[in-house]
Amino acid sequence: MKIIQMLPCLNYGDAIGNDVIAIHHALQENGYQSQIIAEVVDQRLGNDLAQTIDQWKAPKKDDIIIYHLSVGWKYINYVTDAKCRKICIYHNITPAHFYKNYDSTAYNYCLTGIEEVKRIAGAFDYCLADSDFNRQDLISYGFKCKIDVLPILIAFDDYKKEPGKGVIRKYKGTPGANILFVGRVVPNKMHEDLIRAFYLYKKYYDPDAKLFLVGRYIETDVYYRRLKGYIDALGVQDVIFPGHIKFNDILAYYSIADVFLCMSEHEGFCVPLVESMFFHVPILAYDSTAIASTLGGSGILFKEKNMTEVAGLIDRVVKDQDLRKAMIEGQDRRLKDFDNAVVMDMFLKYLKDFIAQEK
Amino acid sequence: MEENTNMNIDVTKIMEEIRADIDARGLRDEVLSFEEIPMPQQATVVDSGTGPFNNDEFMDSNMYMNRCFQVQTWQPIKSNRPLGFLIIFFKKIIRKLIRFFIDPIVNEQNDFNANTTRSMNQVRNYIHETSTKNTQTEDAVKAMQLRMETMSREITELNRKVAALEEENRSLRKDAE
Repeated sequence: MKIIQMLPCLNYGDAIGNDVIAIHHALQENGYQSQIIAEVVDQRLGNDLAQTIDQWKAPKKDDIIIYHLSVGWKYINYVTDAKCRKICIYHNITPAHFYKNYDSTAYNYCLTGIEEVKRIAGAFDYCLADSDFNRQDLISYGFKCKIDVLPILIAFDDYKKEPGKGVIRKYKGTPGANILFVGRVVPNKMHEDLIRAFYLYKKYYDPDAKLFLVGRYIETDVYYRRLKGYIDALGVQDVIFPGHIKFNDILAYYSIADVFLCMSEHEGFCVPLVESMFFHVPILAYDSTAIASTLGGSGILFKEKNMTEVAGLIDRVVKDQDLRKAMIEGQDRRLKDFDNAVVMDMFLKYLKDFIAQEK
Repeated sequence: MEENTNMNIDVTKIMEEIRADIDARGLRDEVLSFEEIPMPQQATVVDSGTGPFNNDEFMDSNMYMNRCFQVQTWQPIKSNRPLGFLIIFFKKIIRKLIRFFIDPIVNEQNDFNANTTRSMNQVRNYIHETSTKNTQTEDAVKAMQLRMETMSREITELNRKVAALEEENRSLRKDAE
């Protein structure tokens, strides 16, 4: 019996890619024969980790395909037509409307992706969802099979690496609070709301504050350019887009952050929340989609984007040491639920139960 | 603004204090809205200018090319307007009627995209190969430098010993005389 993980794109350094690789290693360590097949495999991952779709061989009847669903895929019929058992790990597809005015390719991908999810609802024997929000999504799309919740596997060992000294030297100990958000510069993450709240915080509470918006972007992206236009129009200083930086520099930004602020309006899980917990950075987040379930009662959630109040809340979290301590303690407790061993045991148990049930 | 109930943290009380402070200081959110910022025009040329080679940026773009080189002729047709179903119906007819014209153009574009992507994949492979060879060459150069340093030390030591032996030889000859 072979377990074949399939996905459109195995990227280097993103949450789904890391999840796939972690599952692959865990399967191998537990005696399963494991393979990864993707349409495109990032060369930075080397040649031995995964095979491309042109190396696809029809699976045997007792094999299991685990399909990582996060976007539409032109080779989805390879999965749905396969004569073997099929599990879907659903990472969520961003609603297309976020991209409507910004990126027609992404807009169409998301639109066709959601149509595809509805179409393949009956093709899977079992589903795993990163969050209860994702689970509810699958149910709304017509999935009738059993769906369990399994958090994304996060490579915590990687976070123990040495943080980038350059970033620390430049910003640690400088006047003003360091406010951090980590995530790709894409419309659903609502960077404009982060900038607006930061503008008010800087104006009314801390003129020396800095806002670090760590995440990938392309200079010519329409959304990124509109954000830059917004920053210029507001005249707000110290909004820093480090861009696609080395991993150890990301660690450095976490290590110098005073607050993690999230205004995202669509997340299937939000790995940076867990990363903030790991680095003991107090979290303030807008309560949308899967944010609350990932936080699990830790951090502070707000249901309305009253930016003046958000600015006041940032100031309170930065200055009130007792509050910071209580938040970090709560986050430390929640972090234990994402321990690799805990999540992996959960996954292996789900897998064993699935195999036993299907027999 | 409602707040979650967090263990050990009285968020309600904290927010009341914050609101009281905001009211007392008369703070207002009278800020330019993001919606007022005009949408930039779609860029037609990507030009990141000169600068050092960025492998991550190159790989990201290469991945994007491999993923998205094929342009689709079929695009979903939607309408939220009144009598939208009629608009959709007629647009679908128009789409069918012009396919004879559009499809060859798209196919040509896709051929070009596929060849461009293939070329970039070869460039990627060349960069990877060259990078590997460079690393191997650098390692070999470092090893040779280390060997040279060692040999240099050995030569210095040998010269010292030879000098000592020559001195001893001279001394012995003098004694013999």
